[in-house]
Amino acid sequence: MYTCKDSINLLLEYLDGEMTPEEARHLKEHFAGCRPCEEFLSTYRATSGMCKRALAQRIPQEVSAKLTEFLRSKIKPAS
Amino acid sequence: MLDFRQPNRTKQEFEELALAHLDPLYSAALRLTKNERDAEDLVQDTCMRAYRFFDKFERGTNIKAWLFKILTNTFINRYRRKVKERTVVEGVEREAVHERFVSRDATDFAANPEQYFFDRLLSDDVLRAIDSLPIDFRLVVILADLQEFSYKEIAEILECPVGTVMSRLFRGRKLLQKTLREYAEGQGVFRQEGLPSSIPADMEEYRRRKKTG
Repeated sequence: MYTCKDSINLLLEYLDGEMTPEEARHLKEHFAGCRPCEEFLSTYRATSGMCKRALAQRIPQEVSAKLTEFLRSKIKPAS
Repeated sequence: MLDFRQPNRTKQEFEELALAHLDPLYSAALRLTKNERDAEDLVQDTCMRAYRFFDKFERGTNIKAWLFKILTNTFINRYRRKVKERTVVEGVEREAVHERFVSRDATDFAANPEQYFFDRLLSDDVLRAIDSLPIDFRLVVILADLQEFSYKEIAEILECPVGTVMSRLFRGRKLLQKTLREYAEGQGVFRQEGLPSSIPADMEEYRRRKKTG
């Protein structure tokens, strides 16, 4: 049976599916019986998803236009 | 190789390949520099450098990863002058070893903690939490969560072992998780539910209490 520390350390492999079925089973058993770990797992998962959503920002139109124009003027073909 | 007999083709190729990635470059730059002006400068410098070294880019390989390598290098080289934040990184890294949990009993939260967590935090809170991450962790979180680069790609971009990428990502997310939880508590999310928000417990303490209680 895994301890909390083992489980947390193995979490990344678990979430990435890079684990033997045996290891994954042990880990699931631990999570099922350990509330702090179960909570840790779910909020850890949530954290990653929240980051994805929060980070997805588009470049403002005027900044994009300005940059593109600047770069086009700079990257003149070598003559 | 840069073919000077066809300069227009090189220019056009660069424009097509690099300018298509302005959006992701900018959003990453914004989270690295934490302000719009510097983000703009960083993207501009990145593109200029990319153009200067375009002959080093192997056609057919991942242009986005290549651009991000230039972006992070440009940022790190500038950033290295600011020694102060570095010192903070080491402190946080040590502290991050201890997991902290808040004991709670709300059935609402227990039923679907993920949703509960989401609903009460705004994107601004999440961005604030990301911005507060030490730079090594912030970089990996941005590359993994925002850009969805693989561990291997991130390792190549940052020129470090894949294992380091994985551990930084894990620790970065754990720090975020902790910060977001603190924000949630600060906004009274837990208090409203009648939770003892002032009693955060680490794992050892939790187990001790479970045994004796």
